[in-house]
Amino acid sequence: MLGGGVIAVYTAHVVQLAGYPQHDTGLVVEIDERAARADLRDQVARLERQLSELLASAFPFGPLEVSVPGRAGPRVLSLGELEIVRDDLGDRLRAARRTFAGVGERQAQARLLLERMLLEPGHHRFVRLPASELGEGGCGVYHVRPRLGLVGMLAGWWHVKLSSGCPRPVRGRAPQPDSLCHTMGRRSRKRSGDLVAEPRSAPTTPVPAPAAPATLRRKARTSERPPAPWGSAPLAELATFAGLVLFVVGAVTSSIAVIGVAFVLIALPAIELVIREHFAGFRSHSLMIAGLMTAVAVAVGVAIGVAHSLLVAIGVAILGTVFVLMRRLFMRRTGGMGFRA
Amino acid sequence: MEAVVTAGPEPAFADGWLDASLAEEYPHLRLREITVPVRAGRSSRSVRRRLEHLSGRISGAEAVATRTRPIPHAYRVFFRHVGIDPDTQRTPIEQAVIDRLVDGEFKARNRIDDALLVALAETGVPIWALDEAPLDGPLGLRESRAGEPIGTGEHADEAPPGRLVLADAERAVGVLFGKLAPSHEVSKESVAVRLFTIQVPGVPDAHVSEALWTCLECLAAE
Repeated sequence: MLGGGVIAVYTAHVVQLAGYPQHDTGLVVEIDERAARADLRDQVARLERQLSELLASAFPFGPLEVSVPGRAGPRVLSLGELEIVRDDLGDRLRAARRTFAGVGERQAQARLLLERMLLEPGHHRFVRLPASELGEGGCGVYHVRPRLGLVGMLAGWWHVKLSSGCPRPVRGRAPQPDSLCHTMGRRSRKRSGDLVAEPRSAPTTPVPAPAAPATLRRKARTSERPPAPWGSAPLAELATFAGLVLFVVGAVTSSIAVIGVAFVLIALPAIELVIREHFAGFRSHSLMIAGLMTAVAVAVGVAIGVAHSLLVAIGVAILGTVFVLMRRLFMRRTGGMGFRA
Repeated sequence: MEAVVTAGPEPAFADGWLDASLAEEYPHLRLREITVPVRAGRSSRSVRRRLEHLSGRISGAEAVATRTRPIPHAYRVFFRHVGIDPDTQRTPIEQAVIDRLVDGEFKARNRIDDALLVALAETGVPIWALDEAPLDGPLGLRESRAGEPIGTGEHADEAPPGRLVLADAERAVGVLFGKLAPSHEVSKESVAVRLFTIQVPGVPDAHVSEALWTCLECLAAE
């Protein structure tokens, strides 16, 4: 039924279409459909190869639409059906190439941003760049952060850190790549459309704090507490113990200096914990940090002999300003939650 | 429609027949088969260990790259040639890889299924098995006729005319790369099975022989 090809007798039709005077030439044109089908199959094979390679090279970018509808097979396709398959594959390949080119461009921009972040971290403060935008797998995020927390922030010591590991899935809810693996700060979200870094001084329109993600609970769990930078070594406990010993020694010897050192040793672990928890978005300590800053400022003011009325004004101003800044920072870290116990 | 026994060491693989029109249309398409005695039960420890070892080779990246390998690619292309979308009805090797990713391993089932799976995973060439008892003569490929049932019995499905089917001398026993007739499936009572494979254009003879040999080796393993 398929053998032999199709013999088409054009005679007068061919001549008429070609614009020649109509004569009975007896011209017989045999169209070898099988050869045409074989040729189309070769084209289909080439397109399929290119489409498969494109999909493989796009990994792990994500799903690339490469499906082309079947023709109710398995059966021997006619010339017209093979042409449709070939055309569909060609269309799909062009669309996939366009998508892939767009992805490549975005990845190039992301790599450029990463290089700028590494070269000038101080100009890209708190910028978060998910590794997935660089075409890398996993849930890692490049994040410009201050060294030593608040100290680094005040001193202008910034560096790029690569976090790793995907967030744990929430019970009863399927993990959503967009909401979990691509979690990023407000600044990064704002730039997600255009990954090229804006200069630090560029005016920015205020963006309202986004709503807290549903995965974050108002009451922090102990298991979520950020680990200390020095790991599991009992540094804080040792410092507190040393402070207590010095306090006793200071009390016995009536040495104010020793008691002062003891006080500092006892207070330091607590201050470090407060800063660490606040900056990690674990628990909010806005008022505590503001109070500490105010106390330091007032102490310095007293030491240099500032007038009491001025000191009160400075103290109130520092307390209010630092409180607002710390609260905003905490909201940025938690995705909109201003207080967390 | 005579089966041709190819030369070589025993056991010999036979070439199935192809309808003349199909042979003209797909000159490199072949069906190769062999009949072997089997016994029911679990596969041997060595075969199960082999499946475990093969499971370790598959990763997500490997699953994506499978379609670019020569043998799986040849089957993908042939699927396109006969009007099947290989992303909807996956080629056997791609389906096996997806199942491996979903299940976390190549699951051991029984002696025959495990042998077929090992051969598929190692070579990329799919092998199927039919119960030898109800078969009549060598297997072949042809187009289905109007109203023709696939297999026998009251549950036999009808294939639309023109569909490419596997057939013995008497009737269609399965759709090409599709469902095999339930009446001809291998069961616990089967004493011999007909192993067959479809060699599509682009798949070398060596790979087909290797797949069949691997399958026979797994079936014979104690």
